[in-house]
Amino acid sequence: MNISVIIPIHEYSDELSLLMDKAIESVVKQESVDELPQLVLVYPAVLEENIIGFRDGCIRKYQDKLSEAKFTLVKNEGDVSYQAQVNLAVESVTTEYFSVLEFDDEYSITYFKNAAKYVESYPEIDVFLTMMIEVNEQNQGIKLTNETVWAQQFVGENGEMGYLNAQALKQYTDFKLSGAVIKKSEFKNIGGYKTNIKLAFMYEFLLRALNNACKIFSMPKIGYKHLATREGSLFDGYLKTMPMNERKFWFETATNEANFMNDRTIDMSRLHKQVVS
Amino acid sequence: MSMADPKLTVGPEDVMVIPEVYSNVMEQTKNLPCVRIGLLQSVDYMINSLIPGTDWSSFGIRDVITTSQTLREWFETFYGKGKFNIKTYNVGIPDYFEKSSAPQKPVISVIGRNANEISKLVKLFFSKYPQYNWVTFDPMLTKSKPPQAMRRVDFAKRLQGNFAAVWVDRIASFGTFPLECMKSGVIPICLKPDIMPDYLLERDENGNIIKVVEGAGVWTENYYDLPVLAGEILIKFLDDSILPALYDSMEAVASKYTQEASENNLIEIYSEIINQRAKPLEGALVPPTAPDAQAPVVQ
Repeated sequence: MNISVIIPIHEYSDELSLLMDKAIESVVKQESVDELPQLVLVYPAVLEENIIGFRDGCIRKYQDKLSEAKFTLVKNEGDVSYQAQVNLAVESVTTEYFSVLEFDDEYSITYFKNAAKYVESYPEIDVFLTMMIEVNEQNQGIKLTNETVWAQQFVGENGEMGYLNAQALKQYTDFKLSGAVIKKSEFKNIGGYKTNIKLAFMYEFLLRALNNACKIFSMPKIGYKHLATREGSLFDGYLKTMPMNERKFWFETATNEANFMNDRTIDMSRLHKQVVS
Repeated sequence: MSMADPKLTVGPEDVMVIPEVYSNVMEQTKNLPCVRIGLLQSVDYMINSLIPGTDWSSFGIRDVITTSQTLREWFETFYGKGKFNIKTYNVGIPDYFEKSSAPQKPVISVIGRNANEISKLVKLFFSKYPQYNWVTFDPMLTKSKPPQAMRRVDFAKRLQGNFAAVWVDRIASFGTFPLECMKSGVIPICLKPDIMPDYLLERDENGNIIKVVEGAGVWTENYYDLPVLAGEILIKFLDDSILPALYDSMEAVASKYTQEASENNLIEIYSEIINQRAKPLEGALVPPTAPDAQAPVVQ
């Protein structure tokens, strides 16, 4: 399959390298694929030494499957937010599709076999979400994500099961793009992730994509395991430090900003304004 | 038969095949000079249309066509072995029941004779698996208001897109739907009916049952297993862990029930019947139809 896997890395430690190793292993051990995807590692410049060491370790460990040519290293000297890292890495993608694998997550072993099947059957789709199981640090399942589009009640009478639509998305915003198979050309056409949007940037991207007539489909296979509660992860930080009114603010802002293609500066004053009833 | 004067005129060279549900027709036509054959497809329809103590011999019927060896055995058990001349043929599943080239959806077709049983099992499924409350059970009706039954070819098209199908029909005499599923690559999850479907039985060359076929979908004798089995199959579908062997077994079973084989089987049966019927002497005038032949209008 003509696909690259982007792995954004914003921190590094021996402990995290174990998780990263599992993530890489989930790519290497894919069933029934002719060729492994290209691995695009994007990282802050200060981690370069660590990442090169990690890459070399992977090549030694999986020498029959991986070589230096299988890796594209993207050193990020600018904004190291998740969104900026992904946008930067996409510039180095040379394949038609890409998928973002968070370094503490894993693909299922049949993921790319299935992805190839869905891409072939639905060439008109721009974003293939995957059903993901979210787990805690004890590897216990917490919830499924991206599955609700398969409920007719959710997509509405005029909606089609499996396809995300804007109306449904605004009602229920919890869709994740991790692990999704994304057409690179469409990602770039609609402007990629917005770095000015916090917390709700995936929702904003999906809504903007739908507003721009992109087709988004959820593959009905559990193809991705997402570690949802890792101490120090991006969303763990939001969960612990972001007050409820700010979360609400970001989702409302994302809904509005999805009408604009460019990454506009967000007026935060509304968040801090006291509302007197 | 003239539309203006709808009287049925038949002679010994004619053959009349009467489905089991029309025992009144069997009774009304008992004095006709033609060959009459009872067609048995549904045990329940047959029994419901007979008064106690009668059978088809009461109407002068000796020839029976039925759709499986199991039905033949059932018939002989209750109406006498050797009393009737029974012929069996295999039901054929049309070729438009085929596997989808597109991946299947996490949707479960659900077909049953009793609406309450269907509703109950769907509710039990959602109670046991609240995490799968997004799964759709498809009653296989049109999307019009009110929903209608579909043309069979449309039914086949819809069926192939769903990954599994639950079937509850306790009084089925053959069980065509699970076969349609197997041919379409859809996993049937079924309650065993009172009469075991013939395709689940493996027989030796003498027709004796030697074992139950494995892998022809998922079958249970306990109705309350159905929602649990549907959940287990769903989990395997989502995890992509359904073994190819299951699909291979389903295909092997369904491949015995092709339309072509069924038609050839029927041609053989009817050719034999036609060849055995009384023939008018060549050159002789065909006698006028007997008075009794003017049968009442068939309802």
